[in-house]
Amino acid sequence: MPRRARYRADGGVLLRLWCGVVFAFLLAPIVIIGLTSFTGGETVAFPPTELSLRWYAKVLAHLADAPGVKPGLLGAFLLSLRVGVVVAVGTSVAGVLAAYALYRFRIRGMAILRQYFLIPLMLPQIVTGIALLVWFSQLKSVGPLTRLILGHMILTLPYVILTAGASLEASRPDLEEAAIGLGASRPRAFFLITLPLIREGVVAGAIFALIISFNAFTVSYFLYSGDALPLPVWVFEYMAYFLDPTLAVISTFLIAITLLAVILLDRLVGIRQLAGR
Amino acid sequence: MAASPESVRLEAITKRFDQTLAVDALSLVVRRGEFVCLLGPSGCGKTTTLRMIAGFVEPDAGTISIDGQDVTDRPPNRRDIGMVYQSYALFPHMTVFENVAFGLRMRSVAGAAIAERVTAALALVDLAGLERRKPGQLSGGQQQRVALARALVIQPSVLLLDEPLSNLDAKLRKRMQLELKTLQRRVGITTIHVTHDQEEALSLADTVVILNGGAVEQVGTPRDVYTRPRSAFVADFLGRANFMAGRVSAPGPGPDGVTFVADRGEVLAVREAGTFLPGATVQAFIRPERVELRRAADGSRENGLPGKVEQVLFTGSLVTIEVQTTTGRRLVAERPSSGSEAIYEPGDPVQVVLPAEALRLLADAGQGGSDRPGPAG
Repeated sequence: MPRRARYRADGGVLLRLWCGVVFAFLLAPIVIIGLTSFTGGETVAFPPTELSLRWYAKVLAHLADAPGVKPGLLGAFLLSLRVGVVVAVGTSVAGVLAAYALYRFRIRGMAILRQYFLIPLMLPQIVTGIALLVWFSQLKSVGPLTRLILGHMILTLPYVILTAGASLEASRPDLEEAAIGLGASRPRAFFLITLPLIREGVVAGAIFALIISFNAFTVSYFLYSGDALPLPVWVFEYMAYFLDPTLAVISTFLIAITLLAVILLDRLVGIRQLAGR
Repeated sequence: MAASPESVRLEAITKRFDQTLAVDALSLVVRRGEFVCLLGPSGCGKTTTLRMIAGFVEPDAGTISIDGQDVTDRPPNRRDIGMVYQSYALFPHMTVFENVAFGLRMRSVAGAAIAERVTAALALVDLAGLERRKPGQLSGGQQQRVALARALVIQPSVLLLDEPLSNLDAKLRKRMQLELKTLQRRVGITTIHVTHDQEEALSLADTVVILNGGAVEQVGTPRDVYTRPRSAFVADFLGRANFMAGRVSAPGPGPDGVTFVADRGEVLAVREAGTFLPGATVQAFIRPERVELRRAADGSRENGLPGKVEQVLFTGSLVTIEVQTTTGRRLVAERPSSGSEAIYEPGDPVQVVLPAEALRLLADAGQGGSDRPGPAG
């Protein structure tokens, strides 16, 4: 009997199997880190030999800057959070302004300009980091906190431009024109009509910016100082001396926070909508 | 309001986009309360002209005045215009009420007055009770009315309509045309309406402005431009027409009449020759509804051409009859289908009569083309 190749909208067994393997590959490290954090042993080991919360207790001790542990975890966490929030707000404002020009104005060479603004996305972060280090060392008056914020803004700007730009392209320019025709000034038409309509893209871009800034290590490593030390750098330094499950606990916390942010993002704007654009 | 009877004045406005001349030294005066239609094929500059009046497009040269004030350099938000778009351009995140109230809010009208005027505007367009809806929950016709109410509520000096009905289906479009006309009469607002639909322009306008290649081709009342087009382009654009190339051969019969000899040898009397003198190369044209048909046996008449019926098309209210004359010319006649006249079948021998008072002469330079086989669409 000849075999007939049939079209199946849900894919065959092999495709499903393949998808399962891919998902497992993506998720396995996260699951392993999570499980490892509950180990009772002295080293990072999988599977954990015995279950215990002793490393969670140690992280709490870190957070309290208890004597005998490496200090500065809470400070690094709060600094990263502060930098992340400032970057999210700052990049959103700059990104929306840039996206408005890049996606609404009809000027010769705009396509090239759009690519230009995406350069930080393509450049290796180590290059961006070195360049910023050299640049900021010329500008002596710029403090370490400002350095970190500006560096992260450069890193996250393309994301806001892309999400806000996609929203702008999907929204109709004639609405703003209609508002101006009805007597609104250009800024007023923008704030009352265009901004509410691209809100989703802007919020998505801001959350991207927050997450990326919070996780940025490479660029931060070139820009931090002792009194402005972000969490990823703290983790890196810790790892240089200790290799115990403390980091697994911190990682688990970070995964949880990121997951919360993603859920928040979905509630707010819908992940589907982001992917669809 | 200013006492001047003049509402909008365009003086030699010109707009060039890259290499194309979109509007070419166009001048136009619109009287207060007048309903003007800018009519023309796509690319004739009608929308660009409207957008220049609104202020969204800046003219390269010329001046625009509204109510006697030069507004050429004034931004659109300070021109006191009400504009309705083909796409409606309603704000999707606002309710119907908020949409209509927008222009009043921009003018810092007090809250109570806003509510009152919005309610009145919505009642005017027959949409009372839909204040809380979002535009997405309305039908196309309802959205169109909201857009109209939003433009009218600010009581602008001039209402600008950019093909506002072309997204509606044929039946609804006809109804909205009637309502638009009634509304415009009642409010008495100066209205400039852009359309490519000649029927819409003829039925709505007090004055039709036919544009071609960025310039005014003819201005007149609907009846005037339809029956007395000044160019083959206008004749062709404003409905169906039979064209014949030829020349004026002799004066008379009649005081203003001439004899026209077509390029296939037909000799026809024309009652009104206009400015054409014997010897002039011209085009004669006649509307299909003015073409008469007689049985071949009825004996010859003035301007009667023998021929036979080629095709008969029943289109509902009208019957279109295509005739080929013995000289090989195809002419189209239109008759009401309810007429008591004889019913013709393809192949019937007939006499086509082109009444001398219905024949018009045009300069032979236009785009009507000479001796075209079929009727102009």
